[in-house]
Amino acid sequence: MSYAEKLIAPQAAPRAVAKPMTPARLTGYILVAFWALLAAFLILTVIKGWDPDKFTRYGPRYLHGLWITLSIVALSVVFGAVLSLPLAMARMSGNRVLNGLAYCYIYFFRGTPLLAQLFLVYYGLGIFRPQMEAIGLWWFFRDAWYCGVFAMTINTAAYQAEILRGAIQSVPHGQHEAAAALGIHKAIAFRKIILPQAFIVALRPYGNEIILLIKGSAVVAIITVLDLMGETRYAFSRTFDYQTYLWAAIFYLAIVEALRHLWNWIERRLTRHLKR
Amino acid sequence: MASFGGSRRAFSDILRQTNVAVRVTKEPFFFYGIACCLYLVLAILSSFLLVYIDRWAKRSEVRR
Repeated sequence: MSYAEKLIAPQAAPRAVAKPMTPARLTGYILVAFWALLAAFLILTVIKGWDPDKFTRYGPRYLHGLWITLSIVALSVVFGAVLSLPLAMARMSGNRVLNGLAYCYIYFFRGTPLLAQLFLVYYGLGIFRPQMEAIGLWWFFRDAWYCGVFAMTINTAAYQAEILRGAIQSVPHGQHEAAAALGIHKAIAFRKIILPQAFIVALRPYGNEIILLIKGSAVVAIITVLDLMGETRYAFSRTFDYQTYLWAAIFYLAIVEALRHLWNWIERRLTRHLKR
Repeated sequence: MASFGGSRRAFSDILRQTNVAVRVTKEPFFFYGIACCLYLVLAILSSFLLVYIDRWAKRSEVRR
């Protein structure tokens, strides 16, 4: 067995490399300067256009709109997740009828825009008013807020079902077989072996879906729900100040940024057994 | 509603025409359903293209 007999003598630090100014570097500097200038201009307009009167008048409304947006998204994500589980199961089942029905549902809601679905629910279902009054569902479909939550729920259920199916099918088949060989019941194997591994795969797509839903929730402002976008449109129609939209953008950015950090934390926690 | 589609004309064309039709005929369910079907047709057409590209990209893989 051999080993080092003496340490390597200290070496001089490598010479600093003089970076020549190439055209590519110059273009990069110019582009960054351009964007920095644009950002500085944006911040300057916010500072110069700061109006305490508008702030006190529309600030609370913005916060209320933020709360409406968050509650709509949270409700539709949770209900969509509940709805997506049977859909994903149907999509993976061997039953041709169930599989086809789930496929059609997912294809329809992924293939048409959320705005069209929202109009179909809010305006379109209005013609079934007598029938719905008869079965006592009219109070639900009369209200724009309920319609928004409903449309977003059935929309996100389709996407989440596809995420769930992809994640579950990404778990190697050997895991099922190993669980069966150990005599573990199928349901317990699914809950304790398949789902934890599937969830690592599904985590990022889920985050994407929630972010898309947060941004997509702005369309409910069209059917008179005063969410963040609705309050922004209200404030803009009163003040004709384009900064109202800037503030909405800042709020949406803040939500997405918070969600991104939360997702990083969840991923670190879920994959802590993979760390070296 | 009109202010929504101003800068995104290509996207809102189907829905905007649908809005006009709904306002005239008062049959929202039928016309929004038609709009959804049109979008579905677009989705199906694009999926044909995707399947073709997918098959082209996997042409060297073993078919099982």
